[in-house]
Formats: sequence, C-alpha cells, structure tokens
Amino acid sequence: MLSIYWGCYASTKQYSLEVSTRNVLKALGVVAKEVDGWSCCGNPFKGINPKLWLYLASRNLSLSGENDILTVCNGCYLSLREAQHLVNSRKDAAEWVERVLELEGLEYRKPKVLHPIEYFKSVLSSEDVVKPLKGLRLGAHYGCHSLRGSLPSFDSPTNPSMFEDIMELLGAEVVRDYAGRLDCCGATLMAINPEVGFAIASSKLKKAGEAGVQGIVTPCPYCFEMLDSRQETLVQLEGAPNMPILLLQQAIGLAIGLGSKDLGLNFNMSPIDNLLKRIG
Amino acid sequence: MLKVGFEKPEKCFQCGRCTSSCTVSRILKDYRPNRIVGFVRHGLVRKILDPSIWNCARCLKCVEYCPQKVAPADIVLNLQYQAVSEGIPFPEAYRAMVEEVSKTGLAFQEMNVTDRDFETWSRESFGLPPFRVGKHVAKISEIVSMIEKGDL
Repeated sequence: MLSIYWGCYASTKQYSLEVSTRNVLKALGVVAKEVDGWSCCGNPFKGINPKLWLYLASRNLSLSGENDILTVCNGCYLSLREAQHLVNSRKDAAEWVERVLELEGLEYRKPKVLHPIEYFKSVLSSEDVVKPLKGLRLGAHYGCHSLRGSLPSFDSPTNPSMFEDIMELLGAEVVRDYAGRLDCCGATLMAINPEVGFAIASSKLKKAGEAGVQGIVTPCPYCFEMLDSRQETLVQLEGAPNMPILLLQQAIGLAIGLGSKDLGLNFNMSPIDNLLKRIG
Repeated sequence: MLKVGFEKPEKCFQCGRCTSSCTVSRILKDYRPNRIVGFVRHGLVRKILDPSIWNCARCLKCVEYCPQKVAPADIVLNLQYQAVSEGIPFPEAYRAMVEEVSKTGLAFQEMNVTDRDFETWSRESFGLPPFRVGKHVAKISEIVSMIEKGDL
C-alpha cells in the first residue's frame, strides 16, 4: 500500500499540491493510507543541525511502517532517502536513530521512498487520458533534488526523460531539450540572498521562453512557488517572460478530465488562463 | 558527528568542474566551491567560515559533475554546521524554522492563502482534511529541544 508524505509546503500553504494529488489519485483509483503524525522531513536543518534533520526524517520513515512513501516535494524526497542511506550505512547513526525514536515510541522502518515522476510514470496509461493537452508546447522542470545528489535516483541526472514521457502521454507537445532544463530555480536562496535567487529563477524562465516553451510543469512545491508565485517579481525585476506554470499533478489532472477546483488551479499566480483555454 | 556524509575533500585535485557547474558562481563571481574545498582539504577551515557559506543554492550540480565524488555541497553543509556550533551568527530564516518545527512539527505556520481571484482559503474551507500531526507534537517538541540543547 501507499502512504503520501505531504511535507510542510503542501500542508501549510500550497493547498493546490495536496488537493490535486488527492484528486488525481482518487480518479486513478488509488487508495492511499492516511498517516497520523507526519512532521517536517528535516531538509532545512541538514546544515545547521544534522541531528535534527536525521531525527525528523527517520520519524517520518518509521511512521510509514511497511507502506511505500510517495513524496510530493523534491526536498522531502532527497532528505528521506539520504537519511535512509545514512542509517543503513552507518552503525552509529542507526543506533542513535533507534535510541531517539524510542523516546517517541517509534521503531525505525525502511519503506521505499518514491518520487511523483517515477510513481505516475508507473501508474498512468494512455487510457486514463480523456482530455489530451493538445497544442501545448510544455517544458519539464525536474528540480534539483529529484535527480542530483550522491545517491542514484529514478532517472539519469544528466539526461533524464521520464518526466517528458509522462507529458507526451498526456498529449502535450514537449520541448525535450531546452537550455537550462536541469537548472536550479533558486528557491533555497530566497531566505538568504533573494537577489541571487531571483536572478537564478529568471535565467531559467528566459532560457525556456527562448526555446519556445509555452508552459513549464514541475513536481516540486519550492520550485513552483519560485517560478509561479514569485513570477510577477521576476518579470518586473529581471525581465523574465510571462510563463504559465503547472504542478505535475495539475497537468495530469487536466488530462484525465478533472476540473479547475479539483486541481486548485485558482491558486496558480502565473498566467495559466490562455493555456487552459487552448485545451478547452 | 552525524552528518549527511558523502563529502571527501581529500580527493579533490582542483579541476574546477564544481565551480564551472555552480549555479551561484555564475552570479556571485567570488563564490567558488573549488576554493572552499581546497581550503578544507588543507585544514584551513577557519579561513572560510564567513557568511559566503550560506550562499549555496543546494542545486547539487557540483556533486553531479565532480569527477572525484568530493561532494562539495556537503562540505559546505559541514561548514555551516561548524559555524553554527561555534556560535557564529547564521541566517534568521533557519532559526525561525527551528522554532516553528519545535512548536508544530512543521517548518512553517499553517496559512490562509489568497487565490488569483482574491478569495482567501484555509485548509478547511478548501475542503482539505485537518492536519494530522496533533497528538505527536508534544513529543516532537521535547525531542527537538533535547537535540537543540545537545542532550541527544
């Protein structure tokens, strides 16, 4: 069985991510197990306090029990997998985690941690697509923590294709190789050095625009916030192009026939209306 | 020390691929991961515990492109930890997230969110189930505070 790990963004502010994920899974007939007690995955604390990171990541792993965990955020995906690797490869880490989890009455478990791209690639079929995203030239923004890092991921970190394959299955015309496709969105820097963060995000949108991308799809809520919610600033500050941005689950939802409210499309701040009109 | 743990500064031969792939170096010319690794490799950590260590975007391109699997981004994380351990001031945003996580189990506060039509929604009014961290919060707070004090 599957449990969905929501992470902080979907839980506290990016309601479109949670609602679109729930409704897409429901439409595909997937029953997920609701879990009590998910906390932050610890990702923000990897540098400032690695023990805090390791505790938070491992408690979520243990809460999932034997169920696979479907993450909906790139940061959570990498954080949970790196914590898992540390516990599995180092005895001192494993002992520390066991001791700390015991204080909470939890037992360390080793669930499989899934990324939404690999998960939806495995469950979607062309029969699910009732409203193909025809006539849209879309580009994928994988986001850094879906593919890179020291651990092997679900697709090639330098030349991935799984995300593009999903969008083609959804009926979109995909710009497979735009410059900057695998570039960072800059979100991590917003709390520290926002000017640099804005410059990074704008460069991404400009490169996509120049390659003829008419809309960007991303699985990550941090990237989404950076490219969608902050887009007006990017346009004004850095001359970035106006670019419709969708979450992966929103794109899937549109193609399988779900409505705007089911997908939280009212929360997208980028100019998605023309894009939506084109698919009817 | 428990840490992310992929870093291997001793393997660096200063080819500079980390810096040529670095997202931030393109904008901040003085931010050079190869230089950071070089200092750490030769035991000169004290020379680079400055605010620039917070400029890493965590894009992990340096980790990807390093031919020696040095994992420069993880070396930067270790420097951040060392700075915090020594009481060197670190970005306020991190402190706020630690406080929030110890209060609620999450890094951010639950928000009411306004949509494109200026309508404001809470989780509840948008039809999402209530958040389920509930009874776990007390224990999480206790353990976070023990970790923060160095008792665990």
